[in-house]
Amino acid sequence: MDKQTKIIEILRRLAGKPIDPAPDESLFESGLLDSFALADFVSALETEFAIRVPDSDLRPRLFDSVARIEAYIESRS
Amino acid sequence: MAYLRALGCYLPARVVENSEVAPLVGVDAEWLLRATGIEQRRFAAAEESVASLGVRAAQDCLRSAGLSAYDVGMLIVASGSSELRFPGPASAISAAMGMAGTPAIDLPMASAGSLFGLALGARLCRDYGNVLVVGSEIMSRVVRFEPAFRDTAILFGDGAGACVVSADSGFARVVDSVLCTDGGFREAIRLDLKAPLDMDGRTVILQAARKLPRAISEVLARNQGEPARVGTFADGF
Repeated sequence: MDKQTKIIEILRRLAGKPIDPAPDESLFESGLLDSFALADFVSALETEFAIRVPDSDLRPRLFDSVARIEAYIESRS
Repeated sequence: MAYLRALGCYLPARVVENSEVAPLVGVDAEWLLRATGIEQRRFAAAEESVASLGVRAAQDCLRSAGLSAYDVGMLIVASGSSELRFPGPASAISAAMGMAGTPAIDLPMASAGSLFGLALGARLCRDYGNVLVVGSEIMSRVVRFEPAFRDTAILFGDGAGACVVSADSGFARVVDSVLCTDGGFREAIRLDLKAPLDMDGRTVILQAARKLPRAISEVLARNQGEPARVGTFADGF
């Protein structure tokens, strides 16, 4: 399973419904990820991809689209 | 040792329901309740100030403690919505309470300011005697009730709280505290002198969701505490 597919799987799990965002679609603007789910989402990314997101990287813009999230994960791997 | 000796509070009389706020910011009342968990808030009257709210809370607290203003050795006042750059509300509260000569300190910090005041009071009460800690905010005057400012307008209200911290006795012992500041995210929530409150809600939540549990874990670990044995969590965020 590639990274984007895994990211979307996590989003689906948190949303509790079958969503399929485009790679560059804003997860916040489209309402697919709200402020309260964001913290759980980042924790799930850490677990799934075995990375550690430092406090300094806890910035929403890094997690605003599947493509951005993928880029961030690759920068931390 | 430090103890919480008494608590006090003051809420302005005017109750503001979601049905009043919701149309101003372009949402319905049910959505507002669902998004925030808030059913109603209080708004201060035009003649009230951050200091006057604080005075009412301080008086309530001293009454509950069975103390007079003469028994207070230090006053600490936390507020992020003070009307003046300086003097802060500590001096006005001190004057209204008849506490001339007693050191009065402002903590110009919103949200966690009163917890910082409590933690500082727990250390300073050994040197200064009873420390009266007050937190007071009038946030309704620093937000705008317009759709463009919805994220902040729906969250805040007005009110004040107070406690007395004593070195010798009280209903609860202040065992320990963990204080942390991350100035790297200071822009995430800010109040300029001539602009409404500006908040990046996503960043605030993301930072809080990571750092609050860490601080709780640290203070528990330092004192051989276990989360399962904690009777009450009171979130001051």
